[in-house]
Amino acid sequence: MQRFCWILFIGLVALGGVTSCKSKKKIAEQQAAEAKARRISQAKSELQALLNDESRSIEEREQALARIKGQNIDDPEVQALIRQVEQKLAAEKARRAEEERRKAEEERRKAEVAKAMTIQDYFRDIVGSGNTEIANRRIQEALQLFASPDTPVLIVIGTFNGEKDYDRPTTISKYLNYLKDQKKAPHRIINVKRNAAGKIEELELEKQ
Amino acid sequence: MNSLLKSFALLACLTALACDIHAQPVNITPERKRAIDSLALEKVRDLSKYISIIGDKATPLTESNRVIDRTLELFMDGAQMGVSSLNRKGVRYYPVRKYLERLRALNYQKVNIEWYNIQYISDLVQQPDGRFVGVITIYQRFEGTMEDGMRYVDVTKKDITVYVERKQQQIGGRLIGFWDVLLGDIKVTETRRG
Repeated sequence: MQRFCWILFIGLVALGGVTSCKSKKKIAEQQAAEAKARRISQAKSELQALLNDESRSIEEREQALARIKGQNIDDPEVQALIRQVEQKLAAEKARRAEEERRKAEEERRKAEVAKAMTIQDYFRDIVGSGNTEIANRRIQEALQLFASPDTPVLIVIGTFNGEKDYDRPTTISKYLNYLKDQKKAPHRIINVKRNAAGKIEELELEKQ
Repeated sequence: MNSLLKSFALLACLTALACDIHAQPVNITPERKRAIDSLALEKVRDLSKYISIIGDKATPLTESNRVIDRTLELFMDGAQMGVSSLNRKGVRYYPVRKYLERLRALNYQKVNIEWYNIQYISDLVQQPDGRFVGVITIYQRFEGTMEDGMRYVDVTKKDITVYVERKQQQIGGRLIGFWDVLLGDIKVTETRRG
């Protein structure tokens, strides 16, 4: 009888242990599922915030996105939001690059026009020389700034609906002589294109 | 017969297409038209200066040759210049180059030519072929002084036909649209003592 009691006791203890293991596993699984749900919810709200965020820089938002992506959340909605954020950031980067390119181009144009002030000085000198010989000397000096005496000169007579209207294109040699003959400098420089050697290969003027 | 008709129809179509290519009236705003008007007037003012340089006895030959070439670029091929004198009746017409060369060779010690009252008497009007045509009138005061101090002075009124055409030219890899102003015949309409 005593022996039987011992066997029953051991059996009960063993049974109790198995039941306890099973319920612990369940709890752990439940906890993991809850944690995953929390992560998904958190990721979704962060991704939504990234989609609406205009205050942080692109780089900051890219870091935040990388953090979320690093969690490897296997959820279709999260993945879709990640793609949306990536597309948005890519579009913003492209816009920024285009803006920077435009700014750089504008800066370059301004710098070229500033450099071209020496050309404008030559224009004034040629007009005001009052003497053919001096004017011709100045013309020869000015021509050194150009790729060739046949460098095209475009003269804008007006801009209408964004489209420039030009006078008949001429060459720098003819234009400098025009200044000498007409004794007037009716145009201002608006654009200068240089070749790799720094010589002007196209000049754009506008009636002033 | 059938193939002849087909050929004729094709030829008619091609001719119509060719006409269409040349006849391209451009729709322009009043502001744009003003810019074109002003450009044409400017060309006549440029011509006035060139004529005065060519006529000036102080202008070196190399310079006057160059200016003659530049002046010719302002004109249409075959354009003629009317010349009058108080000393004879009628108006003589010369091709522009010949007129300029005669002007340079005038037998005076000093020549002074001045153009004034340069204005449109007939506005630039677009033609069916797309070109604009107008007439600009000018007054020219000519003064020639002989070695003995004798002076000849006259004032002539001249009408200049002006043609403006839309053209395109390839420059630096891009197509530039421009207005080409060309001067036609210059007619003398009045000559009087200055």
